Amino acid sequence: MTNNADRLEERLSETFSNAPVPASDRDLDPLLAMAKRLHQIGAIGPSAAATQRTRLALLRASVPEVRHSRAWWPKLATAVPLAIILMTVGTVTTFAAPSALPDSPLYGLRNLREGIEIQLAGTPARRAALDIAFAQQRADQLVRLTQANSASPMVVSTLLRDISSRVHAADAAAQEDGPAARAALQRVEGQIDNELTQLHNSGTLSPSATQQLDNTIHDVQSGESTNAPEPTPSAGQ
Amino acid sequence: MVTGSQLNEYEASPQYRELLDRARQRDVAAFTGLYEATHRRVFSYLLARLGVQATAEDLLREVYVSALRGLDRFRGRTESEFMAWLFKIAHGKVMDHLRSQSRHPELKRSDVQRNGTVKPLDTIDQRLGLGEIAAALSKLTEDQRDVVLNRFVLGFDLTETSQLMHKNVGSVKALQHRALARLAKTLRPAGGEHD
Repeated sequence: MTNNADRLEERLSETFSNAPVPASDRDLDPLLAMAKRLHQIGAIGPSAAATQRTRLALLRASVPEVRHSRAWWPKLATAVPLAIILMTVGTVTTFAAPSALPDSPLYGLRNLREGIEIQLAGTPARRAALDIAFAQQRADQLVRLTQANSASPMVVSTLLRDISSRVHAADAAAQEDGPAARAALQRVEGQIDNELTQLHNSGTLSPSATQQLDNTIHDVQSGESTNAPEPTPSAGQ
Repeated sequence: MVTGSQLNEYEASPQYRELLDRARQRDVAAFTGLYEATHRRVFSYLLARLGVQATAEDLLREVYVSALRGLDRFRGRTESEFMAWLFKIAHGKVMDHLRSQSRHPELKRSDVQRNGTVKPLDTIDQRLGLGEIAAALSKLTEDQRDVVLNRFVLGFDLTETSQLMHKNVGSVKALQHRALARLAKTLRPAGGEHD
């Protein structure tokens, strides 16, 4: 076994540098082919969409829920009915419309569920994270629909309007919180900005939709500059 | 196969330590930096173990969300320690997933969507025969599996693999030979493309 194991190790390095295997070692061919096959797995990465979803999940998970010890009961009085509504609406939307579009009757339910989720968020930072995540979901949908050439003018217009309003809400919540929330928000706004700018450059939208897209990009970029970290004063100033 | 001494490169990286320190202070941008630096290998591990790209992507997200939430408990300082910790989390997620699959075999087929329709063929999964590779890997001993994953999927060289597994180089070579022989016996060439 030791001899064979040593021989295999020698041939492995040759195989991966594409050197020919000597005829005397042809018996190792199936093992070398297996090693190459396994090696191909290491060359596969997650899709861009999956990476985007992971970044959003990290953003959401990064904001801890804060429990307030005082005056909890008024919040409970609001939270319990909202939670019941959320569960009811959530069940419907989860099964019927996880990503309903504006031309679907379920889009209103989607907005409602998101609104309740934001209301229940414990801190401004968490509200900002949710708002911007919902904006990014819409930007992703808009890009995908436009690429597939299946976005009606109404869908484009509503998605753009809602992206702007979510970005405004996220900016306001982040301002209320602090620099950490603003920095996190700025990063996602940069991603949305890139997506929408690429959409603009593709020239696939009608002139009026492009005008609205430009306004939305402006809103996103305003958020980016508002949330940019303040410059550190240099030494001697 | 990657032959450079990547473990040493990781440990020498000052940027990595800075990222880790900042991530511990709940800086999500820093943690995202750690994700960017490490996720390819974690994903490769998950893909090899699960054999379905979409499932590997879902679990990749879960691994990093769990890592972010549990960062307070991570005491390591080097990237190799961080990688080892991530792999431990990933291993736990794989085990949970496989257990859940064995309890709910109806969810096992990756090509059937929740609404019962069949989704388009996943060309990467099919072309490389990832499902059958994952199944064959699960039939190896734990040491054999770790050796082939470290060496051929994650790209560690012989010395690094022996360090990671706390075994001598001779044992790793022997395990590698047995594992490849067993896999080659079990698996047919993928998609007829293999030479």
